[in-house]
Amino acid sequence: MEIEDRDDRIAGLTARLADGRITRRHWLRAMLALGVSLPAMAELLRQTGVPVGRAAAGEPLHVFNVPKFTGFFFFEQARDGGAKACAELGARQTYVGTTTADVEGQVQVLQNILPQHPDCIVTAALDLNAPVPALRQARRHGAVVVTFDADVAPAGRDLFTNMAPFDIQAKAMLDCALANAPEGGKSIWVAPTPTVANFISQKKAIDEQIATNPKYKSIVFIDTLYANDDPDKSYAVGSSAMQAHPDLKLFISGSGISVPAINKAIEDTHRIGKVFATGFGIPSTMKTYLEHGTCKQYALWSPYKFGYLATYMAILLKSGRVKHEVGTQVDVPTIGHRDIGPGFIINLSQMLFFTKGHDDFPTAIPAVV
Amino acid sequence: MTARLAPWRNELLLLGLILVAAVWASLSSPFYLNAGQITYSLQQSIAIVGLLALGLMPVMVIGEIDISLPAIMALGNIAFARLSQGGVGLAPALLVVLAMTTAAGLVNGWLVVAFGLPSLAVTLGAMGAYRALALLLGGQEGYADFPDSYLGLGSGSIGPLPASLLLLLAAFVLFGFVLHATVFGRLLYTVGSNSTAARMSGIPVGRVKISAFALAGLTAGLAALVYIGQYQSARADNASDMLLFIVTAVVLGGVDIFGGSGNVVGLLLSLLLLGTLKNGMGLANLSGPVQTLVIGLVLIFAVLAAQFRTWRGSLPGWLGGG
Repeated sequence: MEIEDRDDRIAGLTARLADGRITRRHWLRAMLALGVSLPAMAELLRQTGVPVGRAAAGEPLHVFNVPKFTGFFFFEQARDGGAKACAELGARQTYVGTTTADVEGQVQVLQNILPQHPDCIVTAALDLNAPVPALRQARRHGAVVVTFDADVAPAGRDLFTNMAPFDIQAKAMLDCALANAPEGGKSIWVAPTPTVANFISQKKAIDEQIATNPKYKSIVFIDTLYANDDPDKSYAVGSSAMQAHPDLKLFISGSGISVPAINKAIEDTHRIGKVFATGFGIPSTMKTYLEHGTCKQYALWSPYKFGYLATYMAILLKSGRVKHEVGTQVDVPTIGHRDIGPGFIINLSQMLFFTKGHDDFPTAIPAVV
Repeated sequence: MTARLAPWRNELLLLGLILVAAVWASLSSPFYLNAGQITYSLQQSIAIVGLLALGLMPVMVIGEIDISLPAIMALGNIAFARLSQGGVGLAPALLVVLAMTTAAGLVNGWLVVAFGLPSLAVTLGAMGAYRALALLLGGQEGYADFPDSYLGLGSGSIGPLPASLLLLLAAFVLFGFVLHATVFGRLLYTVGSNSTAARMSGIPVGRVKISAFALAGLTAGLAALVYIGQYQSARADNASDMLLFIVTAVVLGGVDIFGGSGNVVGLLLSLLLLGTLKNGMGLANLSGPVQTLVIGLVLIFAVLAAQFRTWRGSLPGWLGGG
């Protein structure tokens, strides 16, 4: 009798489960079980904790290089420079990143680095603030964080590697603008998004130069446009701007992706010689435009040396060979004597000009600005 | 496999895949197998996506889709930023934002129902509109100065358990109850299976659909609070790349894209699977393209498995047919 009752009950239960429906009673029972097991889970977690810690002494320092996005020549060169610094200083490097400019994705990459005992994190950030919680946690557990190309809020990093002081970057871009269009004219500033820190600083410095230096006063900005570091968007933005402003003379941008894309737009709309797009570009994509004369001059620095400097400083700071103080002087091979400036910023300060005939890194002209 | 477990095929498959993924992750990185690490990683990768996927689920169950949920969340983020700037406390701010995002969902639902428009088109336009609204409301700069009370949900813990994961769990319990054990839930599935028959039976199909969209909007508002706690910043273009992950989670969870079926257990398992995969791949430092490829393949697999499930009746017995 008892056995039959039990079988009936089980059959009834499984029959209800079998039609795929979760009944209210099952739900309540399941939630009760979950509620009881939660304290057990909590206790288990309390005893383990998140294993973010330092690597064992004696092991080579582990440097993580996190670009804005992978698959772009600029950041791959920075990775190679970082690898060179690691080889010279006896560290090892891991290069990880997302394929697109995905802010949440980059933060998740940083979060996945935390349990791996990073000694140094070298990164170009997509957002001023979003990576800061993860980077602060890394720093709390002993990692040295060095940003390059694009900074985060100072709480999230130990050092920011700038390509050059922003007034030098501004002068370089403006000199290129004048080299293309000596008489100056109406200009548009193109940036990826409104919050990438280095572009904000670049524009501010450019505006200051125009206001104070008579050499640049012929350049007049009529607008700022955003192209998300995307070639298609840059092309579209450039084309519509040229249609909207027939007397537009210059596009100036610090984005190595926007400048060649807008040059293409200039060629495709037959405005070579009438409108110029310049600023920062990279040799592989700008070569054709230098040859066609669409662009007469643009500027850059060596991304290889950029990555090298950032990683070199990260390793020196982590190993204690250099003090983390404003005013610290460093001698970096192939770069020279540099110092940590106010706000914990170090400058590469090796601007290069690229023109026809001087269109790759070995032949580029060292800029005098 | 016995007949009794047959309806749980999808969930059992997901459970098996989670185990496989966890084993792979443990083998490919010495840092994976740690309860604290796993919880931390899950919190970061599935807390926000999970809430949005949960919100998307009732909409997909009724046979529609809402791709503007990340945009509604971004609008919520900006709203929190402005309210925080204005010195508003957490509780009133939360009420305002939830009201805003629910209203956004209501608008989506109303447009779909009142004009009979395909929801993909409507929410595609809505996506752009809400992003633009966020930009107008918040300007182009980011905002990062939130008071600690706002950040508690997304970054705090209750004991050693992350608050956002507990919230996600609570949301699953609530949604599970609503979807599987209430009349409203039954109505959602009925409308999703055959909206014409539902209408003929006197069910207020329009109101049911609009309610589903409004519920999705409400969830997006909650997700916004978790977002600003996790990232401690807000900007109009937040979560621009989250949609693929959300849709993958829902489809992988066994929710039929034509509507009418799916359960929250499957969704929770699919989120755990995707979270485990992302964690394992991240710890193994797999390159970006490889990780994207894997998630894409998982989505294709999910769609194929769904086809296989419904197609099954015509297969020979040895392949599982009947």
